[in-house]
Amino acid sequence: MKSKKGALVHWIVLGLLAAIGLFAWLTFETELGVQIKGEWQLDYLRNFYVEGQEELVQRDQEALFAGKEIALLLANNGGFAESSPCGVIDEVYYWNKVGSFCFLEVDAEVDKAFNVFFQKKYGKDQKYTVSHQGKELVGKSEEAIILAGPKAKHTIFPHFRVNLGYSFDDYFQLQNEAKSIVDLCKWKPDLRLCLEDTKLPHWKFTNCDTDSYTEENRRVVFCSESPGKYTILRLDGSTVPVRYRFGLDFTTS
Amino acid sequence: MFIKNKKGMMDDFFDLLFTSLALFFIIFFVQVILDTDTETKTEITLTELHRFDNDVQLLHLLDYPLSDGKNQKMRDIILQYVDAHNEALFKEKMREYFEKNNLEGRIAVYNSQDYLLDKEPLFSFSNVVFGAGKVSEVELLTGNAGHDSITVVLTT
Repeated sequence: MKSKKGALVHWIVLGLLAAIGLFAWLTFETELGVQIKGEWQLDYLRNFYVEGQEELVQRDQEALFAGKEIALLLANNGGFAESSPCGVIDEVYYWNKVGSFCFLEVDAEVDKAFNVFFQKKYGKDQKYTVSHQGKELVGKSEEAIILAGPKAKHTIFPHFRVNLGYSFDDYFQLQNEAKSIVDLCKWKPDLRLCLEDTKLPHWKFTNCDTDSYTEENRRVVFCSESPGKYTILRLDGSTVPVRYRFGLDFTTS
Repeated sequence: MFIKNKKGMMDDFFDLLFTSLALFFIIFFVQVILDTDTETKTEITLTELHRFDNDVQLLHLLDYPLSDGKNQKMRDIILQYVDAHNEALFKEKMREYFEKNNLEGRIAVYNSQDYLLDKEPLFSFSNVVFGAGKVSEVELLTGNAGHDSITVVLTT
């Protein structure tokens, strides 16, 4: 080799070209020039945020439907989701047994009934901690819904707060009234006369429509109209009055 | 003979090769940069933004509280009207909402299965004559026997 100057220039040019080639190769999938503004952000908003909000709307709707149905279901079962500790006779849930009352843990029963209904109806594994606040049913989800994509991840907890237009507080009033009636009438030999004198106008015997007295071993079945005069507005637009069905035991020993 | 001396031939050949490659890359990058149409890209951004606005508008519509004293939301009465086949009331409520919110477009309620099959909606309301627009959709479970779910579609 006579002159190394020319060779050096060639190597520099070759190096530059290799660098440009390497750059082109590494940025092959990257869009050059002016990019679409807010592409990632808008993609995130539409595919994750809006999707999440839609999921929450659906969950609210399902919770509203489930809440209304369990309100009617519980009312028919004297407020118990499964069985009454005071006994169930002929599908009537009893609120007392001899001398003691089986007071309802209203939110615990609502929670139990809601989760069973929700999972059965919608087939979702989501577990909720459900309680009521006035006429609202509040559900706190224990598990998150994760919407994941290649470039983003969006986590939402599908809690809900829906207005049922009905309050489970009716049970507190009814149980107080039931306790007073039992205290007043359990020692009376003529139970029917005592009950007819003491029971409140919204209390009926056996059935809210017929109001016919039946007694078996000093056990009486009652149907009570809602003290708060609540009705449930169903999704089909029909209104169903809330009627509570339960039994009371007037035996003393 | 044209080529008298072969000594500098390789040098000249590599000079030519390197110059060609350099020109190729320079032209390639210049073209990529100049080829970017900013107006088109801005248009894409605005279209996506409009779609997002449309999605939010539909969610707003479904969550819209009604002053009927029953604590109902628009989605509740949509389900009721579907169940009762009451298109007249559906149209009345939608007209009220569209006017109150200065909204122009079309809202349609489909049986979800029908929507997937591109069939006719159960109900629809429109206050504008137009072709294709921005489409947003939300599926609602009804809990009723007639339709397992309905899909509400807003086009603006």
